[in-house]
Amino acid sequence: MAATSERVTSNGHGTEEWRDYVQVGPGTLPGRYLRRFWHPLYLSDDLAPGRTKPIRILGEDFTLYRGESGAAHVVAFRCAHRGTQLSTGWVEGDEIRCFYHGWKYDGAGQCTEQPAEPEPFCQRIKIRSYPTQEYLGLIWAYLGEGEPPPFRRFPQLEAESDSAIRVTRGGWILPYSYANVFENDPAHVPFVHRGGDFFEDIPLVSSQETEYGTKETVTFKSRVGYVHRILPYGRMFVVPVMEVAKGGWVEMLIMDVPVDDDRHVEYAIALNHLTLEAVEPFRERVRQGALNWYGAPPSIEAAAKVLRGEARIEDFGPRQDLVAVQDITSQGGQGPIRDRINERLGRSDAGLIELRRVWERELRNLAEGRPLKEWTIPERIELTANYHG
Amino acid sequence: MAITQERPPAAALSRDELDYARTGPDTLAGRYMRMFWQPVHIADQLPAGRAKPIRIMSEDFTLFRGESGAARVVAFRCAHRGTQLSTGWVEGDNLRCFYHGWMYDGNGQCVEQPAEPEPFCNRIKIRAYPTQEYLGLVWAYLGEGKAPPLRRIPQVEQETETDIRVLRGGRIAPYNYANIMENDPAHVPFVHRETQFFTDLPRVSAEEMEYGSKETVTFSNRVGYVHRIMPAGRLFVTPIQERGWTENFIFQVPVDDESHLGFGIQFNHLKSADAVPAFRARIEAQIANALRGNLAEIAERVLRGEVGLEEFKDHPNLVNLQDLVSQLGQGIIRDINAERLGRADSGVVMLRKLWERELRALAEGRATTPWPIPERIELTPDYHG
Repeated sequence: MAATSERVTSNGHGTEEWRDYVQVGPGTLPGRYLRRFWHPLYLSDDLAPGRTKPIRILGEDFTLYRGESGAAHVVAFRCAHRGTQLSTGWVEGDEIRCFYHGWKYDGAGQCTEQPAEPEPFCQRIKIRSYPTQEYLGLIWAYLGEGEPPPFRRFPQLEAESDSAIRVTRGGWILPYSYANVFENDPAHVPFVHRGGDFFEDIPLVSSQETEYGTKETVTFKSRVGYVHRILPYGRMFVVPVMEVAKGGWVEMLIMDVPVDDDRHVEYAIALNHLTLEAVEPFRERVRQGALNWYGAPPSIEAAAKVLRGEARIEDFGPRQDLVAVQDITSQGGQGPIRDRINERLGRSDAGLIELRRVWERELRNLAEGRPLKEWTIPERIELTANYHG
Repeated sequence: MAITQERPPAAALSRDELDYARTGPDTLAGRYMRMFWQPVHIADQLPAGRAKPIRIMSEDFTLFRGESGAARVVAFRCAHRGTQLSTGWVEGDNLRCFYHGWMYDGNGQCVEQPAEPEPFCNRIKIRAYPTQEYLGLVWAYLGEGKAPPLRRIPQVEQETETDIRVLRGGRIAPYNYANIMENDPAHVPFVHRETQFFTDLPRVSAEEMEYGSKETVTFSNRVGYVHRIMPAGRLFVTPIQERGWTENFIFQVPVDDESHLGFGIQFNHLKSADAVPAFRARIEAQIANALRGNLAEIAERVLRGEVGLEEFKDHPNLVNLQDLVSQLGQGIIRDINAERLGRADSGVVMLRKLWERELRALAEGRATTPWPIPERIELTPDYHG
């Protein structure tokens, strides 16, 4: 009897490909799906006018630069001439000049100068460029084919006030798949963060699909809270204010963007609802730039020591980034890509089961050429102020 | 046509398959090594209530010591969502996962799932491995089926005032265990020149023994032995500078194909009780030094040509450093296809012959040798002296 061979869809995707969403490279099914969205690439404040940066995202390399006028641009990683890395070049006006032989490109990728050529042929040279915009402290780009979809705004995070202060932080690369962190669930809190500022009772969870992704309802004896998952990799939930003063709460939008299959970069937009007396000390901390510690290299190194067995978390004593060390330990401890084949899920895993169901359906539709769901962000995603409190 | 599962005829086994250097779970040598108890940790370095990740023969495990004092080896990852169990907590004699608190007993049976409204612990079991402690080491049986009895080493069990057991090692060396298993007495006048060891060149011969092989080392005025205890132990004598001699039982354990652990059980026989304080002080300093410095890093610098060994003449662990340079200098896995053995390599040739015979027997489903350790393995106190 002939062995069953894997079925291949009309556009070349094997039936096994939609079962998981961890592969992010350009040829992969999840990689194609992810490229239909705008992605945050960098912290706006960290890119001064006239600066360039090499960016790796979804297993591909790009060049990010900010022109002297202030506009951010994303173009191809390499010069069309002889392939050196464009980020090593110079910004001139709103254009970027290659480090190697001085070819110059505008923000649309059009070559505008070839100084060493006796008969320039710039008009025939164009590198790829990508639609780019800035929003809520982040530089976003559309890296897919064709026209970009409408940019999705988060109205509820735009609403700053005297006591609601927005902070955008992140940009640290973590050494494991975005799936490990996207599937992190509320039932980990009493264990991973035991003895911390969060809750210690164990909730019941349930999950349902929404217009933006999924909503995990977290029910305690005395209260209820939510973890929202915004396709393709955003999460929204509440944590207590951990800086300066207790008593406030934070609306968090966390985005874990794949760098490669086994690494990701995290960005968080936090709207901090503060008690009045905490506002000034908090603003001072923001001015000092002291809030961007979650997921920073010292936390990654500490977690790596724990995973190598060289230290226990409790050996570290009190440290500002303890929560991050704990999370990186549990999520990094699943391995660079969490192993779906050898896990045993229960009812407390309802959130990730729903999330995977949604992903699988969308990937399968993409593979088979059927329409995809358009995930939209409403004016307000429901949060309760006391979930993690 | 029906296809039957056939074992490959041994003649079809390649030279590399019959080499014992590669010990991953699917290799022939890996399967063979897993038929023996392996030392995995120094007992004193695992306090009660502590869990550690360990890697042995290219597989990861979780080692923990329960609060009652019993050491256990279980699977590396939680059955739930695969986080590393060593990051969790020991509670009584159980281990609780760091991520969502699933708890396992020392047999790997899940006994709690605190976040589950309807727990299904009784259906969850992770692998657990027979574990015991002996001579200051934690030993585990990582193979299939029922564990054989742990082989005891009677001749080092009985300490006295002047017969002192010291445990050494437990650090990872960045090369294959075969490089060190094949270290031979003829290296001494060269690698360790100008140390306390001999400088005359011996003649060697080797024979099979009930426990492995015995390499006889003959000088013009004396004779000594290097015993190899299958699968990865060695026994030989070194002199003690405070006067006396040491029986060295050294066990190598592959971490993976590119690195190994070494554990040394040294049984030190001092000629006089007066020498004991000086001896203990020197050993303690050596152990402290071994924990502090990284000898492998120095050896790597020597091999990259950045420094010469002569700059470390006064290093307290010079002998170990010299051995590291020669053994790591063979490459991370010594290359059996690019060597030229001579008569001085009889010990190596014998060791490989035994291994090859055993691996062929295993491949063909024939009985392998149990390699029992006798009451006493013969040594001469003056071999290295």
